[in-house]
Amino acid sequence: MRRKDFKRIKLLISVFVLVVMIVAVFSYNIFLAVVGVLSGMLAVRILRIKSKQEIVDERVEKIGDKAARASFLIFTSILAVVSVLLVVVKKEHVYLQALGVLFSYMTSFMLVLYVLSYRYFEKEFGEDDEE
Amino acid sequence: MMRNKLKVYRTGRDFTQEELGERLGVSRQTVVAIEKNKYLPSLGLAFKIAEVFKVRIEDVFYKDE
Repeated sequence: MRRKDFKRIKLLISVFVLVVMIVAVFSYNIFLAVVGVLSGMLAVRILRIKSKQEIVDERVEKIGDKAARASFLIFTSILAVVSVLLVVVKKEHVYLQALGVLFSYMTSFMLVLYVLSYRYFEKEFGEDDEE
Repeated sequence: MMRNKLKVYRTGRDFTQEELGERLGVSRQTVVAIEKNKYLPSLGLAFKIAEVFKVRIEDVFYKDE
């Protein structure tokens, strides 16, 4: 299968899922939404297996990596600053302080997750093993 | 900085960017990015490029001092 055909079929699947989601939202049918998303995921998976070729090229992967890294950095930084601001807010705003504490936990969780995944991929791609 | 002669080799063989992309298993945009020196391909892809044109990697890619 050619890359162009793959993209075309993937676009058709996306449109199908979108239409199903719109119908599900307007008819308040959560079951239809779940079935729509799952069938879309399944169809893309089958398409990838059937196409039997390298669909995601390395440049696209690199772009994805960079975008994910930038998103993580921006989101975590903003979350950290907002959590500090909310924690130091006046004592009478208890709810805001609680929200600040929650945000700081979320920031810590994301940083721990980053460190863990970094360690995992470091092992995956070979550690500094001096001989 | 690394540069390349991909466009020279591609046009020499009368390949379109789309055709070369198909042969290399990458998108046309990736071929464009490599030709414009905006994207440095991996070693694997560089080998594939050299293989398609039946030349050595250093014939296609060179270091610009």
